[in-house]
Amino acid sequence: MFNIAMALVMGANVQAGVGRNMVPENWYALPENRSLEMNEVATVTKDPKKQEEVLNKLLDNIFEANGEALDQLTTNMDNATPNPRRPKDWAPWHAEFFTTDLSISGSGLLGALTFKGTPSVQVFWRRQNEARKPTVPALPPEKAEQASLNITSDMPSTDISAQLEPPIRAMVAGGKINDESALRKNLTAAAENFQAVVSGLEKDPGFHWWVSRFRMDVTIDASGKVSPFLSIGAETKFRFDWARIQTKQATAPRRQLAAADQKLKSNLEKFVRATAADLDAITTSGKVAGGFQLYQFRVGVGASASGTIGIVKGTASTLGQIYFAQNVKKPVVHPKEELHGFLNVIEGEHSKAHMNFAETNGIVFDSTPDEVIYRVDRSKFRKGLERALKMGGFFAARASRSPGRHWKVFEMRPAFDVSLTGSLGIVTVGALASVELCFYNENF
Amino acid sequence: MKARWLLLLIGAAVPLTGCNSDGIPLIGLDDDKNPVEVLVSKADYAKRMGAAVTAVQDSALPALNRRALGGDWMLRTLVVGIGVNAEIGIGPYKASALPKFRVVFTNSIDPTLP
Repeated sequence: MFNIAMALVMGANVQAGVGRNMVPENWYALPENRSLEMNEVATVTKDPKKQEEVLNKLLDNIFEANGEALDQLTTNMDNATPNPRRPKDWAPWHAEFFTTDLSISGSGLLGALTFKGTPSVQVFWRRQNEARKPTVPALPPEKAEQASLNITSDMPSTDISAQLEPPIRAMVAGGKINDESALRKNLTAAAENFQAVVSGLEKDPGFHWWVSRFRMDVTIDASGKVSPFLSIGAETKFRFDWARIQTKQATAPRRQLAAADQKLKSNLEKFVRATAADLDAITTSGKVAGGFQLYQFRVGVGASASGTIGIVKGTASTLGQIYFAQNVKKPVVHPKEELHGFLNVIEGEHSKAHMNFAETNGIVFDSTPDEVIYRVDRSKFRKGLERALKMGGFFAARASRSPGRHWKVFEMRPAFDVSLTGSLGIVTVGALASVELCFYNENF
Repeated sequence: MKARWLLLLIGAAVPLTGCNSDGIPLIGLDDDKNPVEVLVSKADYAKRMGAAVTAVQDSALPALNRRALGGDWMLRTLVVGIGVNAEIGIGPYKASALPKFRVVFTNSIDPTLP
């Protein structure tokens, strides 16, 4: 009896939250998943205005609580005495940046996140018109150390080899790779292929948005074989990282690409151009939400066996991540981008429910043994992006009101998943969706 | 027995006293990957998070300040990721929520964040 009563009490606490702090269902439940998740989705209140007020209050609580927590940090001026050997930008060691997450549960409850995975699309909002803000676009802190190579399109082969040597030795010393010479040969070839593929990304597409970074993760097995896709439980991972330095002319690739790689390169360029056009179309108004402006967009891309490039749905078969950045200067004149065609959405697993949904809704797809490629109407994807920005704007508007004394929210990073219908919902990992909050220390 | 019913009354009183309006739901997954939602007060959340970030800073800064300048490489940035244990609930309904955060320490006024 007591246990039943207790369950009711605990349930009352949770239900009190579920009925109040809920975001609209279409923010997080993608159309193709709604029938699957219907049992978990609670009924949203019929009074949207009241619901918004409650959400605003909750967001204010979260921002204030984090601000109060950070204000407990004292500024330590140890080691602040002048020293001629210090660089010009020297400051005493201090906490500068803090990130935590908001989450939306499977039933729509908004709160603080306690578990997290990797999103497929992430957009970055930054506070504008502030005297002090980071000059270098901040990237999400990495969750795990991983061997990597930072590469430029004109980096000589000797430099690539020199950079690869320490991680190769470390991998061999770690005992996970048996054949050192095969690893050296395969990793060098993969690096040069990567360099050739990204050389096309340096072309200025003539839009506000351009590719600022491309990351590709590969896996290496015990024999030293390098595979271009991450696989679950993979042996050893290696990351190729390319960052664009404002070059307008593409560097001609030195390496002659194989036909398959050439196709991949060409498709990657097409994907980048189309996505930059989509981002341009929905952000040219220069609107800011509560003082925040979208400045970076990250998308997880994948490639099918035939070289088709698309946004990856789920975590399987991810080729890499492309970062788009936005120029603040006036864009160059560019031809009007036609709004026809499709966006490829690649799903690694064969979801019967998703394929049924696609068939019912007239969404063309191609199923192969390895993946399913859905052809999503690009105009619908563009509308989905617009809605995603509105969601980001909602969080940003509240963040701009947070009254922290020494710490301020400077960036918001909601992560989105792409629906087969082209709409976007805040990405769910496990059964949770998340929005990353970034606080900066105002004392420095 | 009295104590049990007292707990029950306290639990039932929470949503009635308006504590929820100042509460922050912590959302996570339980061992079976089902969403778990528990409510903590704003004050408790700020207290726990404040204690955690202070502990991280108090551990990191002395070590960073002891590092001598010199050599070809200089340490400019340190990233620390932390989970704060906030176990909430009673008896069999206890849920463990672990708010996670990352703090970046730097010795630059214009840091390049990782």
